[in-house]
Amino acid sequence: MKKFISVLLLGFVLFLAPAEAQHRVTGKGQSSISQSQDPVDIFNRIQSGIATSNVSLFSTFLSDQTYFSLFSGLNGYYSVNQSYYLLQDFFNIYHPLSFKFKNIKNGKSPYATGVLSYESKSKREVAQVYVSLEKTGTDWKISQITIK
Amino acid sequence: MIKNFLYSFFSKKKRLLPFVIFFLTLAILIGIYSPYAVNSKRNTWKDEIEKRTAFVEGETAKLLLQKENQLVSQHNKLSTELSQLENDKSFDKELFKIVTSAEDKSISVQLFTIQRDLFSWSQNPAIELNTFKKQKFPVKESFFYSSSLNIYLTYIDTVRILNISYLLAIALPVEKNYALRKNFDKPVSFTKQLEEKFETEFEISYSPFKSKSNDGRKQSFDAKNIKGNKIAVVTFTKPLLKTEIENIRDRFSKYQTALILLAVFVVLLGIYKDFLKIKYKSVQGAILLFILIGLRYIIFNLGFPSDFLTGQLVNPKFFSSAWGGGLVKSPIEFLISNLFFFIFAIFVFRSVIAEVRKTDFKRRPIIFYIGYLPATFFSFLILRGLAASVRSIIFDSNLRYFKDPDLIPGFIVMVMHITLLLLSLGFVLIIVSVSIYLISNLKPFNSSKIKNVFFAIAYLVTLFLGIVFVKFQNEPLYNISLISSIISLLIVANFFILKTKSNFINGTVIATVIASITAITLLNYFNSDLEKESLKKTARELNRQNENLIRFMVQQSLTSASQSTELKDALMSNDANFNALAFNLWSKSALQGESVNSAIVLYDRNFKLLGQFSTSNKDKLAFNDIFTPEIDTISALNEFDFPQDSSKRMISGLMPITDKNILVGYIAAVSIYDVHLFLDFNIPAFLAGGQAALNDAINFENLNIFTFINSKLVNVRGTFQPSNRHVELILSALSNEKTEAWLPLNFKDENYISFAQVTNKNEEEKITVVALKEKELAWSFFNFFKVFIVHSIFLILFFVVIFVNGFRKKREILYSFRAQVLLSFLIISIIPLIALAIYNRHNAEEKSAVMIKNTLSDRMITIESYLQNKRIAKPKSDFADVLKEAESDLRESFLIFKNDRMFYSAESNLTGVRLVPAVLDPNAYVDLVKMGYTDYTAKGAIDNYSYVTYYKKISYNDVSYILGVSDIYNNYKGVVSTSDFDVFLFGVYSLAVMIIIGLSTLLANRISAPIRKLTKATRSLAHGDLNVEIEMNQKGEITELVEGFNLMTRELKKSQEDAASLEREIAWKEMARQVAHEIKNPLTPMKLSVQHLLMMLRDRKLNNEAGTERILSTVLNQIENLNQIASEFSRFARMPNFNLETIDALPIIREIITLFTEENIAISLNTEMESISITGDEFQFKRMLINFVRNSIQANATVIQISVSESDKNYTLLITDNGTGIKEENIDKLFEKNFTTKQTGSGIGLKLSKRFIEAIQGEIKVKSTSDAGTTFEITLLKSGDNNNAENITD
Repeated sequence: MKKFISVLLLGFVLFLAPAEAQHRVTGKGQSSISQSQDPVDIFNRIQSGIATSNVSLFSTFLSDQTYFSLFSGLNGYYSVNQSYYLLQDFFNIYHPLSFKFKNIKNGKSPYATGVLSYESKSKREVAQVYVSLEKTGTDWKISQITIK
Repeated sequence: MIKNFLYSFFSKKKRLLPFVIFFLTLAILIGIYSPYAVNSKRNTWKDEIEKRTAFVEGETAKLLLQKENQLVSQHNKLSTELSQLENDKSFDKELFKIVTSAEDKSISVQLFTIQRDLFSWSQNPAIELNTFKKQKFPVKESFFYSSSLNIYLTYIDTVRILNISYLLAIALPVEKNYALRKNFDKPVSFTKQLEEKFETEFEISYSPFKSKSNDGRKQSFDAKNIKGNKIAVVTFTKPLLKTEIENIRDRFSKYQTALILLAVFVVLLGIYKDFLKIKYKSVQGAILLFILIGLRYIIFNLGFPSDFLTGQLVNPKFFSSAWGGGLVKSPIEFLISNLFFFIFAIFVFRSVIAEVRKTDFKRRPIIFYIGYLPATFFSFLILRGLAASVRSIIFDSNLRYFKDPDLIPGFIVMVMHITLLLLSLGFVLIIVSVSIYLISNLKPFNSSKIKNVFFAIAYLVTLFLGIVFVKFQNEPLYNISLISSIISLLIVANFFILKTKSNFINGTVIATVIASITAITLLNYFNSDLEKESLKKTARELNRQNENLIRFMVQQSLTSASQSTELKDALMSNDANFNALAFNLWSKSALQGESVNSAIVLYDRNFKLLGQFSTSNKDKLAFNDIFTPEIDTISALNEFDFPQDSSKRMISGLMPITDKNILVGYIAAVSIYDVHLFLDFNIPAFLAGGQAALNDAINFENLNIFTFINSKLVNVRGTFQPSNRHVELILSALSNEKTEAWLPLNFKDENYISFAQVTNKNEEEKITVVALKEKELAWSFFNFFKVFIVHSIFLILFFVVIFVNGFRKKREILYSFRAQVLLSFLIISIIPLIALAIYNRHNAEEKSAVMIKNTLSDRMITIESYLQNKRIAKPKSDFADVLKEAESDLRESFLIFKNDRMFYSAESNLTGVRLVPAVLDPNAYVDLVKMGYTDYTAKGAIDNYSYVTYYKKISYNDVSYILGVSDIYNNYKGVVSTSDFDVFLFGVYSLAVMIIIGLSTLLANRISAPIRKLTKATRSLAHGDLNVEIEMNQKGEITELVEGFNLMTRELKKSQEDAASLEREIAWKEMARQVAHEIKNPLTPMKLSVQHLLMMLRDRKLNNEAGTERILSTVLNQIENLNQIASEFSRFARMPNFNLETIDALPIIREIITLFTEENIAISLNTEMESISITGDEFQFKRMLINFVRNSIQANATVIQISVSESDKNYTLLITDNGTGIKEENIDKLFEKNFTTKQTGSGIGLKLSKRFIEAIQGEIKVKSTSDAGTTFEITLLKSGDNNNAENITD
């Protein structure tokens, strides 16, 4: 019984301490590559991430509330945590075969459109992708991802 | 029993091992077998494909047959009912009643005359009248009928009504060509049904004239009706070997996972008993923690249960956090992680409660003084962790716990509530465990006053530290009032647990209630944050759309629509409802996802307009004026300005449609948007896909929105009309290049919380302000109770489990006086409450319906007046032209029917595509046309979107028409919507019910307390406890009864003592007489012998040795006789015989404990044994235990702990109290007769106890005693080991 407090502290460290960070987690397994703030570079990262189904490549650019409109029926605003796993699940079902932005526009409201080729249930399909960025403070964040 | 069996079975490791080896070996064997299974699949694939194809064909035919049977049976049922109709006044009413009686409202029923005129119909009739007139349809067999929007499986046959033949057509929707906004869409798809059943892609051509697919990767077959006629062609994609192999590998991997988990589970079962044997709780705790963390990571990494489940439980949309590397990435993972945490917390709590309740618990005040600050800090960190988790539950989820109007939440919300409760309970148990442990280390206070002052200071200091903790954080998750409330709640939990000397179960119940209140308070708090944040989100959503997005949407819509085979077929045949087709294409395009006014237009190859669908009826008129596509616009998006309205722009695109390189027509996608606002709020909710995001956390209707362009207010939406002062405030809040600001505004004495955001579009600075009344954000009792009731369901379930498992006297409790009083109170008070709630709800519904009708009626009066004025002004005008003018001038949507058919529609975008039927509502037709009533209110629905239409008879130039006005474009609500009213009722009545339950329990307890005390006391008396007395502070008959009982007990005790005394006296007298009698017998020969010896001495004959010896031996014999008599009397005076038999002492101990539940003493039994079998006298055993408890109470003890352990031959019973103890000099005299330290004691109790114990070959002794309490140790022989005891009669 004398060691109760120490066991509780151990429990706290192992079970509870990470909960502290729960409300400000910005994505799992994020790339350690330093963040570029050039929208074109960000779109390139997004392009690589979608093409390789690796959400971690661009999860740092997901905003607190990113708008999604996907052909799977997903619509609405999602937090960073949700966005990460929703995209991961989406790419697990619809495996990207190739993806390239055909059109990247810089400026005050940067956006890019491209064509995603994917495979699902051994069937190959094509979808149009629209991604836009918005400035949050000094950083560019993804405001919308549409895959139709 | 099963539990015992399992424990006894698995507790032996030798037996456990084969199971573990078996499961692991099986897992390895599956791994080895997997490649063979894959190879086997490869070799037999061809045969399997054939078998599967045959199977799919067979099963599809069965499914189709089921639907056909459903149709035919519906037809037969209606035919029978219709044929029984009689020709009377109610004929029409009864006819329509039967036709509209189908339970499944999606089924269409139409009755035609032989001339194919419509005679009667249900709502949403399937077969279009023109088509039915023109085309031939099969009779007495099913076929697929394609309407504008749906495909129906249809059955037509004749029916005779009043000796006239009619055609009765029943149609069941099997496929839907369009999709509405998710909330309102009602999916209907036979294709999807087949795809889900067979897990492959299907394509169904609902026409007997289609041919089979030639694609080698696909398999086609004809679908036939009952008569064997082809009605469709079904094509499905053959399963691929590659996919099948992946499935096999996936399946085997899951088997392996399951087996490994089974092995782990068996190992845990095996070590469970060893785990319990660990002496130190701290070591147990550390091991448990290690196992739990390890096990959690193992099952997570094995993909359990996420890989085994689909649906809501694993959908990150409902909850997802990146904490723990994915340990809480979905609702089910979150639940499992919390379950593991909860197991640890409950272990800690149970251990602490057991420890501090031990009578030998050594209080070390130093632990409190040293541990207070670190423990407080530790608790605050835990509270921060709890807040962070609850915040995540709100912000990392799309579930809206308070907005959802449903009284019974959906499955996933329930799961999240369980998780939340477990999470909060875990945190609360840990905090309470720490604080209880610390407080229990304090020495008892000399007076309650000092104690109260001490705890008041401790509470205030803790509160102060909590506030300091919050104040010094960069990102505090609590505000001052919240942290103060939660600290107070936790202190209340501690107080109750300590004050009531709660055991583990009671303590857990208290902690659960506190955890529930804490969790809901936090949930409500962060939900308010979310609602506030949603103003920001709304501002973002209002600015998300821009030209770039609209261009993308138009382009994407054209690309996807141009690939539609449905469009190509229709353009080739040039025979379709092209308006409906345009709507179908629009509903599946990207345009549907945004609330921007948009349209799809279809042209033939010569650019002749075929049909169109536009989201707005009003802008459609405008874009028809401007949109004249030319060949050179193809493949390029065009942008137009509206000459009439400079705030509007249009982006359009045109694309040629080709089939096998032959041009068959053109499709245009158009979007008309407000350059400032983009969003169009006039689009009906079921068509406005983008509005879902606006309704996210708070109802969009409650929001007020102001739009400024270049600092000029251009648009206001909502009831809040900003003044110049408001405008100044908003603009100054955004000065100094700020891009966003929160600001409080006041309008009509109401406070509004507002968010303002600056965006730059088209070289213009746009400010969007979203404002919400503060009271809409306020913490609400309704919110609280809405969740609390859900938590209480779990609490009740928890109690039921305890009740069923642990409460052996449940039946007695149900029939107890207290339960019956409580039940009576609840029935009397809750039934009227429910009746009142039902009445109020019904009343509110009626009032809402009247309000909606009045609103529609007002609109109708406007239209009627307009038509009346026109008729007077231009009496010879064509009515259709007048209606067109009315539509344009009034900008109102309305419908005009002539008899049963639509005459004019001012909702042509909806009626044109048949979303609104072209025939009058059947009930309105009966009432207005057949029965002659003047008005009728009908409820209609488009999928799951409901609307109300108010119909009224009007007359124009002496011709009767029916005017219909609906709220289809903008749903009206009564004073309060039904769902809002439900929430209101739910909140108020839940509160009332909770108060009633609380008060009823209190009153039932109070009323039944004397009866309970009397019952217990009577039971004690029956067990021989004559010292029992009841204390009562009440007045009245019950007090008289209690006093009577006490008097009776005292008299009984006195009588018993007197009787015993008298008995003793009589016995002594009798004994004296007997003794005298018995003694006399040997005395006479002794006297004679002595006299004889005396005579021999006088006669000097003592040398006669033989004679002397004979005389002396006579004397000695008589003395021996006297000795024997004395022994016999001594034996006779001892205790009477015991009634010895084999008894189970455990239930006896429990029974005795219950006798004292009403007294100020907490008696606990600590044993792991399930029976204590001894040879003894049950009555004496009870009497002994009562003696011990009474002695402890009289020694001022408040806690008694009875513990039982066993050795090979004995049971050891330790009875420990926390009384004043026994003085050292008295210990040896304890078991002596007549020894007592009490004024009224007889000093016989312990003596009797010792006698009894010794009589059954047991032992009794004082194990320890001090001023902190006394422990008696009683050793009892196990039954069977004291066979001799049965012979002991002492």
